[in-house]
Amino acid sequence: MADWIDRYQNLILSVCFHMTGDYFASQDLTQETFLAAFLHMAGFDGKNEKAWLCRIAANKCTDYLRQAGRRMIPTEDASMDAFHSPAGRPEQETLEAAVREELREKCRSLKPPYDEIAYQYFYLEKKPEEIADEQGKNKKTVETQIYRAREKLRHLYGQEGGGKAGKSREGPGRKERQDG
Amino acid sequence: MDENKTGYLTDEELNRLIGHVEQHEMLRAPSYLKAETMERLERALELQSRPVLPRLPKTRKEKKRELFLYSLKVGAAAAAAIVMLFSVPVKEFEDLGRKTWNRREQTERIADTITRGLGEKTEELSRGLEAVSEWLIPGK
Repeated sequence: MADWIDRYQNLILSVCFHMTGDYFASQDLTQETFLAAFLHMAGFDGKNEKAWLCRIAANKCTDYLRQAGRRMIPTEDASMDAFHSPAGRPEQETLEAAVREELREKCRSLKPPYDEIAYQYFYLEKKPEEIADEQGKNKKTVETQIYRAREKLRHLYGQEGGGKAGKSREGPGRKERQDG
Repeated sequence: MDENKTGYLTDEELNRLIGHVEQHEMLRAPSYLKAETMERLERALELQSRPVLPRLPKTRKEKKRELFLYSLKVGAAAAAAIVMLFSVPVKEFEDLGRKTWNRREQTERIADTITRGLGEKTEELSRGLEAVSEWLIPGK
């Protein structure tokens, strides 16, 4: 499973972000995808693990969006074409940069001490032990603060309905349907 | 995209989505994601490996016995409450109420004193700090 995570976590995260537009929800859904794959390994036919994992991820995203009461339904294939750029690669880098910038802003918008903790862990991707050593704190304290910062960030991302980076990807022909 | 009845993506839609994401929208997963995922997997594995004791179905006799014991407990509690009601004089209840109220008032008074004391000390400290800053930076 560790090998699968190494190979497919980028793809699964990207698929989840494409479908939900919420960076933090995408991370949760990515973890849940691998967890579900682990628990239901018996149901895997051994042929195409990439497709199988993406199927789990896509279904989880659909369930998540249903629960949130929103569906993003691309109405035409043109909605996919809207994201194509001639060079291809620069658009990808722009998306990554936009996601990172939004994350940085949201981390900094939290109240102390969570702003610094969130910035160090989620943006700079330092380990809890490293943060604890640098700040002279207990590792358990840092872990608790990380947990709380995550909840606050999750709430922030959820409030904006998927975040700015997610919304900016809405191309022509993609409509939002409010479910009951 | 067309939807099937369940609302999930069809195989064709999924393949197109994968192709599109791989070509244009690949994000890099943060380094902590793998560690967190592995932790969740380990917890799930731990839960799976815990032995689950089989629960045998209860017979009619066992259910009746359970109900009888439960009724005894409830009846005993009700009887004790009634006995207490008639054995303890009313005046003692009133005294108990008054003592509780006095204790509560006492606690509130102590809390007020502490708050007032803290406030006064904070003011003194802030006046002291102002004096020091005036001395350090005269004519600010």
